[in-house]
Amino acid sequence: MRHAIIPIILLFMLAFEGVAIELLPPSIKFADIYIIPQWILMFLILVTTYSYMNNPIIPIIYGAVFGLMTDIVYTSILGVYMFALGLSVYVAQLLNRMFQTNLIMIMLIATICLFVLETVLVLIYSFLGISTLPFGQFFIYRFLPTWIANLFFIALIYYPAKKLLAWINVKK
Amino acid sequence: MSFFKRKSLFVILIGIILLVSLVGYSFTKKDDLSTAEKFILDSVGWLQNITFQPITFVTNFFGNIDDIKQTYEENKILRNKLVEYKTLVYEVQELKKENESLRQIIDLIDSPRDYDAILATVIARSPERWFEQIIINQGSLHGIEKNMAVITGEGLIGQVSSVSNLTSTVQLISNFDQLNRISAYVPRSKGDNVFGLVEGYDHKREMLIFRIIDESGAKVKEDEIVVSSSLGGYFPSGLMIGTIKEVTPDQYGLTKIAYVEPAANLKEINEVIVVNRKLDVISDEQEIGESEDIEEIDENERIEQEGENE
Repeated sequence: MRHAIIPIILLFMLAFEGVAIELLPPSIKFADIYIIPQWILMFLILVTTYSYMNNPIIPIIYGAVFGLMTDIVYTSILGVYMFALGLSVYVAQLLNRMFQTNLIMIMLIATICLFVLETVLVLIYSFLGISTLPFGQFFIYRFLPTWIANLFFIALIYYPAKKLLAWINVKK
Repeated sequence: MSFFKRKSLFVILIGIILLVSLVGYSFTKKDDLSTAEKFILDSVGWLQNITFQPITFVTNFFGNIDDIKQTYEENKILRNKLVEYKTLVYEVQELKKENESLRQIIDLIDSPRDYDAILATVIARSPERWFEQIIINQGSLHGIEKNMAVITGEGLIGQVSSVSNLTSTVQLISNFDQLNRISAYVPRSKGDNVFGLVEGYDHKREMLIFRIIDESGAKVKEDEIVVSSSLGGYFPSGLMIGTIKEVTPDQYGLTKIAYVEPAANLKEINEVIVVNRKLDVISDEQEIGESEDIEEIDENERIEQEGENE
């Protein structure tokens, strides 16, 4: 039953992404740089590292389901976040087996996964005509600020989340 | 771990197929949200609502401390304004009474200007910046319907794009495209109003694009205001949209385009008013009926005028 905590936390992350953006001061919220909270991905990276070792498809399913919920709540186009988040959690699974698990390595995994996620999002959205950002500008204005903000976030939740996931794993 | 070797490609392919079909679905659907979507929006909105209230309480508290410092200066100015205001209120009341009695004489109760206001608080904003949407804490249970206009005290900010039971999503005017044009006009005191359509948003200039469709040749100048017209079908008449900053011919030189600076501050939106116009929203069938009525009235007027002339 302890595993039910993970989707509940993900639901909170989903709800707070929008609230956090609204609470940012307008000078940051409407500056040229784009800061996008990708907290669901950050938490799922930790989940793939410390939980579900022998059941790797479950975090991917979480990624797809909560991606679809992001689509429903925050964008009016379904499927985009679902595919992008599912794919990036899958990439996290692949990388997990190559690296050791400590904070630095997790940050590296988070960087790569975030890059996959953001690139897929920008590619699909520009294909659909929603974004008109050229790739060079995407890297400077969108990826870098988002990356810094989310690395900060994953460092913040690393120790609490690690303890929580260890507690969840004790008894299945 | 056979999953990663054999099945992974298969799963990714299924993912792409799902992606394409879901994107297609969301581009084609025009009607209301499905039950599952409403359920998710409601539960997430409920979470956002209960967390947003205490946080704004704290941030407002610090904002209030800043305000107190400026209070004395503002008080002086406001006291002077208050004197002017009192006479104005009296005048407005008199005019309202007169207006109502005149309306009763001609059996016209709901004017296109009248609306019911539903107050709402912004609880979240789409983290994806390309979708300029905000989520407000009032939904269909509170009487909000799709396509209603949303304003702040300063002017129009957007339109309700989808409604669930407890929350609704508002599309800001800075995200408007060809699909949601607003019928608007430049009010003139002499009655030669200039009509047009607000067609979209120029992100570089941060201004709305107002296409003038009036053929009377009336010239629009800078600093004139643009307000909404009830002819679009969903909005009441007279909602402030913005002021004209620049007038240029369009790319074919046939019509003119005015760039309109939005009156409302689109960046800092906390409290909004959802506008439910009292005049019935016009569906296609009603439109035909009403235009017949208008023709009848026109005819009556003509007969009367002819009678007077004789």
